[in-house]
Amino acid sequence: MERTELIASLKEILGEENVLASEMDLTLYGYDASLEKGRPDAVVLPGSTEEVSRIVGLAYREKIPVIARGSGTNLSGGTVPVRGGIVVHLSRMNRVLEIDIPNRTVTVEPGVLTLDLQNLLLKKGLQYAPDPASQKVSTLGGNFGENSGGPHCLKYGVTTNHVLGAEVVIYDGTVVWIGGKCPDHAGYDITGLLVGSEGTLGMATKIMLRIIPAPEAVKTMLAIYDSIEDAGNTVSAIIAEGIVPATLEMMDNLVIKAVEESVHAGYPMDAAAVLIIELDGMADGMERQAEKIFDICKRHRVREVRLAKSDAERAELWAGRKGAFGAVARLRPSYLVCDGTVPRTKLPEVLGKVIQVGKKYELPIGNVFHAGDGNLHPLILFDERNREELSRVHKAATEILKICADVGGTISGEHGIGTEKLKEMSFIFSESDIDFMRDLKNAFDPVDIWNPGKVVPARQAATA
Amino acid sequence: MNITQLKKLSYDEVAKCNKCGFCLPNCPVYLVDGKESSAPRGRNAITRAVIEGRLEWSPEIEKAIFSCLGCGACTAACFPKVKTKDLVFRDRECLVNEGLYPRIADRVARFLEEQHNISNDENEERAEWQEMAKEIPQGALNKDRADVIFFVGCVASFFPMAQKIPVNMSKIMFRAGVDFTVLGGEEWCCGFPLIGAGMSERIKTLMEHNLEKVKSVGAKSIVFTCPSCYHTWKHLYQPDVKLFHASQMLNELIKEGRVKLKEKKVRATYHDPCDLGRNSGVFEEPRQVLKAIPGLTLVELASNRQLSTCCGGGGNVEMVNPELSAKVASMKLEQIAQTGADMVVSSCQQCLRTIATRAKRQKTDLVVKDLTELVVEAME
Amino acid sequence: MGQFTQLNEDLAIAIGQERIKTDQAFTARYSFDGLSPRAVVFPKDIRQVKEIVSLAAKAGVSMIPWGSGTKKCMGATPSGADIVVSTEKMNHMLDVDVANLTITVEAGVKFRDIQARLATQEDRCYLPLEELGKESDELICSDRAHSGCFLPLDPPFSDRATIGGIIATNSSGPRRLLYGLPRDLLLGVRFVTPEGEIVGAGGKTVKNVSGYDVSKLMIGSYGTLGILCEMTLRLLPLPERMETLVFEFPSISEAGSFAEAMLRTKLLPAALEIMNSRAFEAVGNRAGIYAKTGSCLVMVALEGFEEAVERMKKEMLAAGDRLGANTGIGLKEDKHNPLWLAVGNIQTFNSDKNKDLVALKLTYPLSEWKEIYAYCQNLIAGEGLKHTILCHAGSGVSLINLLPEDRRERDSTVGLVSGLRDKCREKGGNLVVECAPPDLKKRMIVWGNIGGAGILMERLRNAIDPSGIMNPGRFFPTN
Repeated sequence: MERTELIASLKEILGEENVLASEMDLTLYGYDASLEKGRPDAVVLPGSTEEVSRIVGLAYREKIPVIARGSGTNLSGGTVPVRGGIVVHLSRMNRVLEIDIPNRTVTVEPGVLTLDLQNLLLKKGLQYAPDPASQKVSTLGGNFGENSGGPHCLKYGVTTNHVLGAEVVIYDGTVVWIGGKCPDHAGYDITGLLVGSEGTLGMATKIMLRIIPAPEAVKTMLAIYDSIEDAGNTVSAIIAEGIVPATLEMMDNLVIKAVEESVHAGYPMDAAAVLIIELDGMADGMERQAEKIFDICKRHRVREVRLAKSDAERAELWAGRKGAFGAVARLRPSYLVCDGTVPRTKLPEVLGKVIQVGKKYELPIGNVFHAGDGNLHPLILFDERNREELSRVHKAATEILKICADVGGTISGEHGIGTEKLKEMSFIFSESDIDFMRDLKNAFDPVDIWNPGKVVPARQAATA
Repeated sequence: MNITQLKKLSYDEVAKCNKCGFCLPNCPVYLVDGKESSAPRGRNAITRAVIEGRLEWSPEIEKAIFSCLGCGACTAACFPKVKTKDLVFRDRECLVNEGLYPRIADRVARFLEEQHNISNDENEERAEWQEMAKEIPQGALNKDRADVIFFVGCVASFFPMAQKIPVNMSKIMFRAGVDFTVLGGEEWCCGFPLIGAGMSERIKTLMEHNLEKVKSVGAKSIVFTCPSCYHTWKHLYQPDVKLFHASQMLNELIKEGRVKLKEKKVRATYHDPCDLGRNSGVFEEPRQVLKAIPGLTLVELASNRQLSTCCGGGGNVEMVNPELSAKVASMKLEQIAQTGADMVVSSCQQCLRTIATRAKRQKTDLVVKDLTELVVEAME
Repeated sequence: MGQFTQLNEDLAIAIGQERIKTDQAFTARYSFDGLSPRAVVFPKDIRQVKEIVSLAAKAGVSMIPWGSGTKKCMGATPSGADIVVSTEKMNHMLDVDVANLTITVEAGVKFRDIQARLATQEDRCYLPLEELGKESDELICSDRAHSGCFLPLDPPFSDRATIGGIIATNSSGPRRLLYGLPRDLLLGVRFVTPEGEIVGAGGKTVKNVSGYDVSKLMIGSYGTLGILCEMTLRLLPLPERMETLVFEFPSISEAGSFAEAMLRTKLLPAALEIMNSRAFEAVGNRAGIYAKTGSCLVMVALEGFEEAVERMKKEMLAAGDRLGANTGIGLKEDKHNPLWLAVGNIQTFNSDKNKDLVALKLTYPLSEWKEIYAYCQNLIAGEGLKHTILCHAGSGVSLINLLPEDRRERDSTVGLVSGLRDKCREKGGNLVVECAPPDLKKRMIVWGNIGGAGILMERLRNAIDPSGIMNPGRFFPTN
């Protein structure tokens, strides 16, 4: 189908104003928050499931790629149209359709922003637990596609643990419901497979999520260390002592310094690492747990532990963590966030190696990450416009992922594979592992229109 | 401005944008329009693509770049603090150079050149509102020399809906014994609309005239009720006299006991004007004035201070794309309704106009007041 | 037949004659639903499973993966069961990493042995220790610092079931209320596809979005996508304190109000189980607790920190009093464990007494439980059938065992199943027949409503097992 004909057909489905095809728009829908770039043939902004279904039906008949997009905050190139096609921007499908308190479910359209939903629920004493760092801008459709994580996932699990079902448009435009309010659906866990499949198996047009009561009590602590090893060991020790905090976050010296310079959170400039430890749940017993944590920190030579005594103090402790990313981002024009995950006992070892990688490639690397579940986010700083530096960045990132894979970890904890990490898939998967994924992809997408070129490496790339 | 100049001025700044998208939910235009081209990230990408030669100026770009409210909320949410507003205004200079700009801007530019005001009236009519300030003797408003110049601004001078602002401000200053004067027909537009129109080089004449007047009056300070005039003077004119926004002066007068306030039982919320709050850093003084009114309960909007949502009246969008401006204003009304306040107070004639007009069109009985009006009421 | 002989010979070369059993006296022990396998094979590891599956696939014979057989009758009767692939000899714990709170085990490891292993340095265990066997296999262990941990699952048959079987059937129990489901615990898998390829997915980390979440797909797949051989699961530290509260209520109405009130509080019970008196009789007897007056009982599991358990106990006992409980008692850990093990074994107790047992699993949106409970009770009582009901309140699941005692009652189960299912469907739920005598099962719809995802499931099954040899017909009718 000629492009002009495609655009005319799309306009017939969606109306003139919801089909974008100018040079400018094609440039603007060619990127996401990663370093990848592409170019679609058209961009559409559907307002209903029926429109999405018709778009997909057209794409199936004409074998045109379809790429779903929420806020485009993806860090691995998942929303970049690398083989052209139709970008489906879901910003108009942004209604919360139902809050069912007796059944503890909420049903949303994919364009609803994560934090908007969370704020809405909080007013009713309820919460949707996964809290990706981008929750203020990320959409629930994007969270579904990427199986997003966040600090609180240590205790509450990631997005997939909170998705009960979805209305999904499948390869030929047919609309089906998978999962739902009724638990333990007979048959395969199709919902579980679709969550985190990065739009390569289908497109969710309604999502049903689990909501839980907001915790009764919260306790937040900041622990300051003179050595990064001690901080890392504290992380495993806390868990090994039988305490699973709601969050366990860590920052290294480069980050601490940057934070102090911009946010003034009151961290000592010479500290090697800080941990933010938060407990939540029933109030009873929390005091004793906090004391236990305090003891563990002391055993690991902590310099100081600060306990938030009020909501204001709690916000203050978090201000440093929340502003960390930004503070570091200010040091150089560009950054790349790596997303390796390792068994948490390996943290001290891996952090040491990451520092070595930074030295080897002469790149500043900051560490601010979800230590509790071993999810590292080394932040490599550079200037994207400097080609030579950019190539060093890619090498360093690959090396960091290799380090994670070699200690029994994985190459992506919460940002996805997209296009960025296709070549590293072989670090953790054999050809037959990947072949199985290819079979799955083929079963759900016989003509290869769903976000092609993502997640599953093409045959030759995998063996390279 | 051409692309070479643009590259020199904007390339390093725009390269700081990592496309993370954190600006999206803070941009009122993106929230109502939902397209990447209306998002700050999208506008940054346009700037960068043009500089790098990947895109050429086009009517679509013109539309995207001229639909920015210049409210600066994106920068407040941005980690590396990319100054998208400045980038957009520079893009507009280039677009004007290419002849790609809304023609209505030409009219405004002509009005400013010929009449020195935005409404194409005789500039002498700037004094029209003074008829409503009968309690103040004529001479007291128009002096040759005074400590303070009250710079009224075009909107408050010419738009009936906003004229009560200078009336009230004058009343307060007169009663508090401030030695002030207005410039009447000698006050020329500060030139702010030209910045938003991408024609900032035309400001020079206006600026020189205004600065000259300040000198001749021998004023030690200037007070503005208009945040955009205040912002322009503060950042562009930079005269060596003190500049106050009205809210700052009111706060001083109240603290010094020169303005006394009686009880007024009301639940009010405060809307931070972009050019006063985020863009000039004045957040607390207007709130202190409100809190000084006994009986007044201040309830904050969910988005306040740095993250305040624009009323829809910024960046010449009201003039260029009134429909878009109205959508943003509607969203603002929803946010105000969520506070449960009886009244929204602002300290900007443009915010007042945009919010009140939309409220009237939507037939909501929201009370919209300028800070000066509320203070006068509490004084009586 | 000749083909099968050839297969046997090939298998013997590949895995050793001693791992293949074909004599009828032996294979008869592996018959179910009227099917008898022609061979039972006992691979020692995933590589041998690969050998077996590759050869069987080439020969086109059907395979039934088998753990300890506790759920052999679940699902529709397969269209073929040529070879049973037993995981019995695949019973090694490959990596017990307590510091990381993960465990990697082979499919044939018994659930109880995992719990016992995780508790070995203490005398505390998530199952009653005296009933458990000793785990003697060599282990790879990391240092442990705290007082033990556990795999937070409480599936039926937990004293006999293998972990492979539990995962493959998505098995769970009352304490899912606090701890979640297999899908919340399974981090990684290795399995052999119906075409004989070894495939791994996931890993040891809780956060992992590398590639498709294949592990999820294996949960509840009943071996139809391959034979699950190894899996990594998430552990939790053992709760400091475990107690049970038992309340007797005059009827479901009071019991229901109590349960609903508890679910509205900020308290976090591990389980909130509502049962009829016959169910409690079967369960309570095992722990030496006898119901006296109530027709409806509520059992609450409290697991957590000392202070939290203490408060829950206090508040719930008070609420029981207030909301019309005849009695309310608290039981310590020594009774807690046997009691909840017994809850998981109720089907066994029932089937020991009644060979015609029909076991049903009802699922529905959780707000509907009270109406469904009352409806079931009335409908079944109308037929005069003895029955047990266990309702996982707060989870949307009820387990009903029908215990027909004569021919008429036996026949009536078919109508009851469809009547109960209609009610569940009306409320947006479903009913699955988990166990029934083969002749009755043929007259029942086993899976009920598979829903809109059926079309995707079938495509998936056809893509992964195109020749339909893995547990064929368990989900979908074969051609």
